[in-house]
Amino acid sequence: MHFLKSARFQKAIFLFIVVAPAFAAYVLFTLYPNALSIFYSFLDWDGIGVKTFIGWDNYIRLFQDPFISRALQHNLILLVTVIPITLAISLVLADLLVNRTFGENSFYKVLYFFPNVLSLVVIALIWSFIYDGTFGLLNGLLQVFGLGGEHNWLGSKSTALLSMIPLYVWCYVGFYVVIFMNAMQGIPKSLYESATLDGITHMQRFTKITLPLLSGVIRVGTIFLILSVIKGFEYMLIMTKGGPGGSTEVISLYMFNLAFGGLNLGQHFYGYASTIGMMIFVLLVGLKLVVDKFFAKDSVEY
Amino acid sequence: MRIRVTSWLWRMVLFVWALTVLLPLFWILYQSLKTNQEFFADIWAFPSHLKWGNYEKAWTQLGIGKSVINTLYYVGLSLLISLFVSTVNAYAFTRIQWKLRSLLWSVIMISLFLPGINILVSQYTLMRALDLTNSLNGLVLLAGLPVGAFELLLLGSFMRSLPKELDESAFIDGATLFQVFRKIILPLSMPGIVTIGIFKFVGLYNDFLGPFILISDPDKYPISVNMYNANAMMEFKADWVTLLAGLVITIIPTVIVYVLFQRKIIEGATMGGVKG
Amino acid sequence: MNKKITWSSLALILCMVLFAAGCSNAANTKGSASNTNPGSTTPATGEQSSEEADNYENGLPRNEKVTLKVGLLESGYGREWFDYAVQLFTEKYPNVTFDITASPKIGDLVSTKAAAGNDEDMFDLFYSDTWTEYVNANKLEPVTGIFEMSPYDAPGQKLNDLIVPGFNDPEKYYKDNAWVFPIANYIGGMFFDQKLFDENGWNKSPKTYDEFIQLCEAIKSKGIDPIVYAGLYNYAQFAFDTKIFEIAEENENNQFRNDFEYFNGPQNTSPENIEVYKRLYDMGKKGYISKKSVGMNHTQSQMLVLQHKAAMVPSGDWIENEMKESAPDDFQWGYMAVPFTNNPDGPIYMNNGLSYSFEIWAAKPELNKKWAKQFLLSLMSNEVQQELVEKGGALPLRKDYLDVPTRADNMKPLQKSIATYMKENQVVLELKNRKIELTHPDYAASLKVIVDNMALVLTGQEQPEPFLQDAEKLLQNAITNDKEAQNKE
Repeated sequence: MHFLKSARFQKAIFLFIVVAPAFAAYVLFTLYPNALSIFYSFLDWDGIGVKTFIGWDNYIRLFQDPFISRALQHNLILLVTVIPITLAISLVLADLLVNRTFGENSFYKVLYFFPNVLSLVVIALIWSFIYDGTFGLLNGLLQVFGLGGEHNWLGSKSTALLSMIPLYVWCYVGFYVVIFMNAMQGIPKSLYESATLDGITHMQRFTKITLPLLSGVIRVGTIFLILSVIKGFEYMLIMTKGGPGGSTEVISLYMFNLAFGGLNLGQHFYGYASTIGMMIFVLLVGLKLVVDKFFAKDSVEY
Repeated sequence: MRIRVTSWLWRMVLFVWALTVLLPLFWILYQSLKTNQEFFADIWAFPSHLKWGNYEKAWTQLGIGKSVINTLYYVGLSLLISLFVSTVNAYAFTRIQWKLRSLLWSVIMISLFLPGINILVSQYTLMRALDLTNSLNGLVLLAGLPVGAFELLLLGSFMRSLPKELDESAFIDGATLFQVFRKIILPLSMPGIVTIGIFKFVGLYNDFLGPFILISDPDKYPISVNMYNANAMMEFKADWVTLLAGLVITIIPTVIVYVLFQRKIIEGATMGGVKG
Repeated sequence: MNKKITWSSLALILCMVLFAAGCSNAANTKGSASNTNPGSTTPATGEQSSEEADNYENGLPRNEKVTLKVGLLESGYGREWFDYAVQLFTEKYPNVTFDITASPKIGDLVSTKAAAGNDEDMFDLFYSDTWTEYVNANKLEPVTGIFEMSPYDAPGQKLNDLIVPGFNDPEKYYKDNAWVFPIANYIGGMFFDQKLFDENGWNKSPKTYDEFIQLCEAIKSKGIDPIVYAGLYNYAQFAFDTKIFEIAEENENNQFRNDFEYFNGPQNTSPENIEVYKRLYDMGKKGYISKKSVGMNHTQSQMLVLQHKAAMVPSGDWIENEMKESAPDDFQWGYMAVPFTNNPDGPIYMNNGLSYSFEIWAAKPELNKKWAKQFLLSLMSNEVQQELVEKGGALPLRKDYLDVPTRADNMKPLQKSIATYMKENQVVLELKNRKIELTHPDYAASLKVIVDNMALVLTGQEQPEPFLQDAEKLLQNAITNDKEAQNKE
């Protein structure tokens, strides 16, 4: 009994000292400013003048606004391409780095991390030049292989959105390789050792042992990827402005432009942008539940 | 024989991906040693002679010397606090049973899904009300103290994967909660902690919007704000070579931190391997 | 060993948390002290009538300290001119001090402070490009009065009469007042390398639309793209924005300006607007406006002109300063406006606009606002103008600026070329500006339809009419809704 009491006491102290202040700070500094957009979403407000309460008008507008469904379609295309490609590439690369003993691996471990530290503007600059219609690297390569090479990748309605996929994958892979690599390093070696004795191949080891053990991290990674793909818009903002003809406008870019891009639109719509934010929130929570359900079937504990 | 061929094939895969990272890096490096005239004449050509002066110019233009202390203070302190907060919270949320646990967990996770529109204005109003604007300590509080959903989720999933028997047997042996945390869970979680440490570092080091809005005295700017201003100046001045030189300088600390941390992960992993 | 380190470092972190908390308290008191102290407010002026002798010649008290908080846009003009102006001003009026925050992104800071709604924290003087919203919200102080004052180097003359005609005129009156104080104006148009044009014997100053088309054809026949522009930022506007007025004048449509300014009748689908877009579409179709323009930013487009892969690029007169480190040594910038008229004597409408300005926040102490106005007036002295022109590369706003020959000689080559163009051609300085603003969201949507598709139209890939009609539908809907809303009030 005495033991239980003191354990309970320890727990209380632990929770009170470490959880309470950090949680309070979270509510104050993170949640509260974020949650204000629920309030804003019912306003007609340009961020400067009077806040006018307009009830559900913004929400009704959501369903009448043709730009929204167009943007969501573009998000969908990115979701179904960027996420599987990124996961596949980074899992394979992480496995090769951790479980093979190539001499150059320790160098690659550092190198692969680099896309994470380059600034957005510079990444956008490099990729703009890769896709450039006149002196672009991609066109240069295509010319070498005799496949034409005068195409304006970001300036053409049919290729602009597709051109963003490699860019996204390139940026994200650096991040997930590090995550998966470190998770793989956490897998007890003994699990592999006993399996190797049974004489399984690298490939079997990857699919039968590594992947199931990583399912928790992969689930988290998938959710993060969904969040980044739907919340992300920075590259479109710099490289295409959502163009040409709106063909790369994603939902967050549209939201951002309504709230902050007053220059082209002549005015700001903080209220309506917050409403779109609420829609994104609902969408993301929904997607998260789908992912949870999908992974729940084959999650493994050990 | 077959194994050898596939092994070489995989080696090629690694090499090809390395190239996709190396080439842009290499491009940035040699562009940063050109003149602007050369840059605009042909963006792929090599420089005629190496112009190291760009680095000198970037150093003064970005005010790197002046902002080193600010950056160290802001990033270092925020990182320490935030790692501490994340670790103990991840422990409390994944390995201790308590009443409000799953409710608080969900409340924290909400922030992942909120798109954060307009958050800067509300945060600014709040920080002013608390009189924390124009203060590096205010920034540290804002960046370090609130428990982050991203860190908690990642580290939590890591800690959850550690066998339950570990703490249970320790408790039976009469260990206290604190002992279990710091002697068993903490060392075993090192790879996870270091991973979130790396990304928290990158995030803090590159975060410019918060410091830019909340700090009004340029003498208190961290390097990221200066870099942001330099980027924005490109709209008015096409001085790309200096910008790229500045970028190369600002990348270096991140890479050093990454290499150091990564080594820590491998140490932690071998330790975990022995125990597991 | 390892564990010891982690544990002690945890202890260290805890100490630091406490330390940080303590520190921020210290910072608090410091912060609040500096807030209440010098800056914003000063005692009521009425009670100090006994000290009237202590006033400056401008009527403002010598003894009351005032700090002006400035949100300074750091742009292509640099900030040397501004620091110089502050130095001159504080030497003359030592009771005034300046608290300057400078950034190329100052607009973000201004809008955050404005939305936060704390007047004391707001800048007294600042730059913002969305000023009509501030006016609609009654947040700005009118600056109309400054134009009635005399700069100290031109006693007896009103500032209004000293500004180059055309500069600033259209933006002066919105809701019966001037709200933005002009610091620099740009001239927009087509920019090119004079050397390249001379070598090929191309027409550097076409007088009519037909001549301009002939020029494009001549350039194209050499295998060079006649026009390339930053489609991402819609830079074509700098060359073509004002062409509707030119066509209206040629058609002798005297109502046009008024209809445009007050949203009377069709706007996007007015005959003038359709004509402009048709011609641009044709130019794209014939390959005069390069298709590469669509996804390009200004760096890429200007690069092509430096490399002589394209001949002309629409932009503003800042281009010389912007590219001064990048242009080849023998590159010589030249300027032309694109004529849309076919009357060789008919006026060509040049595009101009504010490239730098200041606004004054209304909810500030009267004394601060008075000093802010005095300071803005001082920026219009030729002394400060010279610094702005020679160090920053701006065009002078004062029309007597060039009366001093040394100043005229010191103008940049491109500025001289613009001056020559304006002298040799019959031109009108024009700025596309409305006198009323619409607030219904469909107005923004109508602009978005145009902005989204403009580059595709200009490069001949999409027909203009469908977009103009879509945009017009949204616009008319916004007009009707706004009128209804007004009637309700």
